[in-house]
Amino acid sequence: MIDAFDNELIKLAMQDDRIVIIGADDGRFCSLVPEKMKERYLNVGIAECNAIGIAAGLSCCGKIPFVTAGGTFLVHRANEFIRDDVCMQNRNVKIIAIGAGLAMNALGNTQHMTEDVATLRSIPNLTIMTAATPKEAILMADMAYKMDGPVYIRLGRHEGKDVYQEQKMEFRVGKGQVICKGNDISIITTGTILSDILEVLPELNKNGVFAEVINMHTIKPIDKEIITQAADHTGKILIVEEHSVTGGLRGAVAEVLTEAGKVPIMQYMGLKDCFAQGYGSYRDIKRKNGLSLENIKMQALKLANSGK
Amino acid sequence: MLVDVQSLGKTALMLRQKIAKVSYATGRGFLSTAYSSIEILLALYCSGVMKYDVNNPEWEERDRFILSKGHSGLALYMVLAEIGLISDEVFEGFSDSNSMYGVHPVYDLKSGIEMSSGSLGHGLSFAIGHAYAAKLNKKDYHVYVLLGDGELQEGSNWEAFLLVNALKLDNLTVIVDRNNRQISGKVEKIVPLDSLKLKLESFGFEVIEVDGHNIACLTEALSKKLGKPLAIIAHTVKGKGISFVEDEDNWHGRALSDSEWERAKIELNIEKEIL
Repeated sequence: MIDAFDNELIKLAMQDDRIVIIGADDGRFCSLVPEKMKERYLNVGIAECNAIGIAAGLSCCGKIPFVTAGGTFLVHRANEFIRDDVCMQNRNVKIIAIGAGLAMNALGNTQHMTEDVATLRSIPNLTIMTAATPKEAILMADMAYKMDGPVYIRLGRHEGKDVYQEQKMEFRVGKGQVICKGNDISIITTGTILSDILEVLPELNKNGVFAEVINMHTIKPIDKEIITQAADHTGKILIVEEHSVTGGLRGAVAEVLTEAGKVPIMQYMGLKDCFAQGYGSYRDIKRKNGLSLENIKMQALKLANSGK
Repeated sequence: MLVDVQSLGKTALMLRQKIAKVSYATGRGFLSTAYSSIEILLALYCSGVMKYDVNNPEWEERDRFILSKGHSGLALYMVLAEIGLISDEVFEGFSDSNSMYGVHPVYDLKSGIEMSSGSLGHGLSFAIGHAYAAKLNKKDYHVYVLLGDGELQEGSNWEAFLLVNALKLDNLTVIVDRNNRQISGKVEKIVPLDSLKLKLESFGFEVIEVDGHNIACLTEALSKKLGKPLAIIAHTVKGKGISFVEDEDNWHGRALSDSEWERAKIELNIEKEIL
């Protein structure tokens, strides 16, 4: 998925010399950037605050900077630079965060991006998106380039089918998508864990449960309409996110429902006020942190059977 | 460069008078910090160092001044008013509920304010962005950034110093307002910078030390284009101009009391209403 995004960004940059790629020792673009645009790739070293500050300055001079680094370092270390220099002044800076959720699996919990959405969601002017598939990451690169203003894109680890390629879906910033229709429960998710949910669906169907699946690629601005429709339609909402359940997608959805006066039965899966535990493969660490296929299935069935 | 030092000296006094009055009237405005930076700003804007167009403040070719030490905001506003980019009227009710300007500057290019500042350690990275953009866009404008010496305790500055050297940004001048003061006391007693000149030289800068209240010396230093990154250490006195404020403790962010105002009026030769 990261490769797909990077290649798209290079393609865009070759067409528009306003694009400047800033890496904080990203380790990707140094070998990817064509000679023709070498001076528009700036590796500032292991210095995330500096990377964001420079991007803000460049954006004042007509450039469209894309800053990329490990997401947790960008968001938590350079948070104030994102707030003051980018968002407060509404700069046309794109922040590309690598390692969404638990994608860094065995590297330890300093590397996991599991609080970044909560941290950034309260900052005005920032669009926040998580890519679920390589194709969606490409579309996000295109949209971020076209949009004027600060954009934050989370890129995780994609394994499995690319629903975008298969279904030729329309991507619009701020508009969620019903990936799969169903009448029993609504599962709302963001990022690559969408693939896990789709993998579980046949098992749910075997148990007589038909879930509506909503891909909320844009967490801010959130699609209020699709959330309230789900509440009206199934009355049962399961949030699945590779993130803390505090302040992320669950928080965003709950805020919409509260504001709309909707009270569906709501369950949620994610990190429950804890840091990610354990190591192993991507599947292993998701399992260890309550996000296994089996647990998604179990929680979905439990919700479907609740209130009966 | 021909600088009318005598005339700018009078301007500096006049701006100190105005700052004292505004700060006293509102109880806000970091008086002592503003006094530290006045001559630096006058040298930049009023002695021919910077190129800008007051009729077109967004002019793409303008030289950039970035105030990283945002608490010198009142000094910046005063100089911007002096050159006609903002109106003197804004100082009536400065930072009150209807004011366009607060104690720390907020980005407003039409007023000549290049960035929102107030959190320290941001301006240098931002300035690098402007300077690097000039290289990419093949523009020959120059970027000046003013940092406080206490501000250099913020680690982000040192990330940025490293990169200035790596990029060989010869269109960037770093000015350090070296007043050796921060909220808690003397910079050198809290976290010493020791020989800042040596430090900056080791980071690849050409370093010039000047009297930060001598407009002629400042102008000469600021006008230098040496083909490499330039740092100017401007030795200043926090509160310069009022004897009982100069280099004294407990003046950071404080305005004059009633009795202090009476004493300051005498020292600054304020005889009548000046606003």
